[in-house]
Amino acid sequence: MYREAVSIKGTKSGLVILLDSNHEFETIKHHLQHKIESANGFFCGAKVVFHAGSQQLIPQQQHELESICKQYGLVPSTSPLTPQTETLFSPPRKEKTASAPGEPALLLKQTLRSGRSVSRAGHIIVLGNVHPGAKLEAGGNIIIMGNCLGTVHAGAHGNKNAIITALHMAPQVLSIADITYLGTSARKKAHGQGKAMIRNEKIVFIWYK
Amino acid sequence: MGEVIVVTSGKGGVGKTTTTANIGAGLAGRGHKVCLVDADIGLRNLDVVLGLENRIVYDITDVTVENCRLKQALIKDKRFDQLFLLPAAQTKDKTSVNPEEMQKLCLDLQEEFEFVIIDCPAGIEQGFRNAIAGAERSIVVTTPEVSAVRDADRIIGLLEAAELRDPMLIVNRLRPKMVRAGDMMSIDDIIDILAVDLIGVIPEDEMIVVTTNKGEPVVMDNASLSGHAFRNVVSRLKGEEVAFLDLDEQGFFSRLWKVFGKK
Repeated sequence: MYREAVSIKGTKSGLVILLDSNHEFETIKHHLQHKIESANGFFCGAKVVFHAGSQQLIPQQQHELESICKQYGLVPSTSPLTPQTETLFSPPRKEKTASAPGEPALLLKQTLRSGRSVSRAGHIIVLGNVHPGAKLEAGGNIIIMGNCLGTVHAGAHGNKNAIITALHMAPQVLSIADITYLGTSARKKAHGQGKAMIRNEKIVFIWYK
Repeated sequence: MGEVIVVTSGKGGVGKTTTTANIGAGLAGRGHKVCLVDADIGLRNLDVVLGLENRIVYDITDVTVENCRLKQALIKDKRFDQLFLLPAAQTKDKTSVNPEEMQKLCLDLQEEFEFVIIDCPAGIEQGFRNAIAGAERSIVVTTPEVSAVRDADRIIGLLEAAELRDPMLIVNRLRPKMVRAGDMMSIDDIIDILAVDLIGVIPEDEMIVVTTNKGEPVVMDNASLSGHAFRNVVSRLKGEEVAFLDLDEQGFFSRLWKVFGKK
């Protein structure tokens, strides 16, 4: 069942035009024109923003819709929807409330042996060891509840605030964003529980006693 | 139905073939019907270690392409009536057998034997995949060297990926003196890294070289320490609880002092 292609709601800060992205853009345009026309200038002078649900309007579409509004004397507003209007008009999302306390992460309940390679856009948590020769790459943070002896890369897409923490930190190669630290070749257990982060464009370790 | 066990290591030269021969001979010596399969096609050695190199008529590829019946290719051991060898082909390569054929072969052998022990080639390519295809359990052999342990780690990962869980570890060529001096990885170091169950520690022993040259597994030698260690592995494989050898006190004089009750 399709909702109406275009519906117009009034808010304190002006009009919000809700677009149903399930319809063709041409249909949406046609409906919008029809709606404003049938209001007989009632909307004239009102501020208006577009809201296409979860979908983003491409700039060209946005421009076309704005020019329709301008024809009838409406004033397109560039300011984004306030959080209040956002919650008013977007359908309630259950999964969002469920994961509200934190951010989703990949949980690996295993030891990553030599030759394993895991890559993930978000955070990674390992309940086990990361062995020499194993590779771990996360867009976010990496938490290892075990030995970190392999190659680990946090903030792989450029996030310099990412951190890597492990119960035993002795990596072969450790990178955060585009900064890399080469592990010492000493094979003795010199390091303990630690956290790696970027300070002044350098990777630093904070050791927990 | 018998049990199919693959002996593997990743790295070459750590003692897979020696281990296979000794476990096989040990099990046969205790009355089990055992078949050893050499999966190292093109680089066959198991026949030499067992002293059976002059008896090979048919090999594993003859069986898989049905040049001969399975029974025709099996070579009976000189010493044990219950021990058989299915030799590898020497003139072919690893691609002459595929995992499906190995699976079928293992099923056929399982019907006949209590234990089927497969000697896996070094590496992680087709030869390795063939060798593990029909196996139900696995023995990983390593030496106390960083490189061998690293390869064992990789192999354990690949075995787990192939649903061969809980591999049994054998640490070969341990030199207790060097461990005491801190110049060699200790068993604890290795277990720390690999986190698998240990079923045997074989000390470095010249007798291995001697017996291998003679084509007689060291497990039959009652005097040697490595033979004793292999007999313990066989017992543990059968599910018996056996204490690990105290390799620390094996110097001649320390043993002598022990006899006289001195330290």
